[in-house]
Amino acid sequence: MQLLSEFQSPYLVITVDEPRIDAASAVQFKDAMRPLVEQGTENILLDLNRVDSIDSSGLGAVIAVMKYLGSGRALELAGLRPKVQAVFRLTRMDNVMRIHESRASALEQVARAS
Amino acid sequence: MPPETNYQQAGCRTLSNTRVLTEFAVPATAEGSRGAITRILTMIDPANYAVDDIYALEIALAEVLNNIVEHAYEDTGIGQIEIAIEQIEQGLAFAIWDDGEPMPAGRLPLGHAADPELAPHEQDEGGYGLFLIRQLARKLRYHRVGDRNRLSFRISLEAKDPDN
Repeated sequence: MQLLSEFQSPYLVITVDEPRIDAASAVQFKDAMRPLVEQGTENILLDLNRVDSIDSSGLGAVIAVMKYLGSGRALELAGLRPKVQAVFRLTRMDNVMRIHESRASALEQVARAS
Repeated sequence: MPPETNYQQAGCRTLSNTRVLTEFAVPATAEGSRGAITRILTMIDPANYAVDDIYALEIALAEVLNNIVEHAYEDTGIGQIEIAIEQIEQGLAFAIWDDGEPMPAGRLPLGHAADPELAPHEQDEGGYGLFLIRQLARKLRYHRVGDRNRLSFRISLEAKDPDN
């Protein structure tokens, strides 16, 4: 599971460099996320622009990471491709999470607010 | 070439009202499941259909097959999944068989969506797969037949407007 992380204030941005987060890779995703989120205390921006598809196991893994972060740190999403977006919409996870069109638009929004 | 000729060339049969596109089996593994989806997509020529319908087909099939791999066969990697597909007027009709464990209480669970009353980190980690299947498939039926599971359902596929 290839994950790229960089601090980009106010976020720790983590880019998933994989075509899918599914039943075959959900556990690896969770395991690989843990040491990365421990690098800081910032909110996480999970950039999924390289991910073509996610399934219910992948969605469960994203929720597991949010549980690990707890109530003090948010995980927001960016760059959802159409099939990934469909899964978040159909499960209504898009109603409970913050989802940005792209990493750039998430950062712009922060800049405008400050 | 008319599509019917194609199917016959692919070694499939023609019935009175429906065309049996194909029947095949894959191993009950994540790779087997992915291979089955690739094979089905290759067969129907996705470019002919609305892109949202193709996404629905891919998402529903992935959930159905992974559910069998993980729950019916309990991730042992042992066993087969048999897939029969008929072309119907509004899309595809599937019958999927496995020799694994029955569904809990012999019934297809309901599954659930995210709970709008709860914070993101309070959401359940599971239960979305069956909810997705129920959202995307029609005429979903589960039967325990002897020692086998049979799941049947339909996925609508709308032909793409040729002018677009």
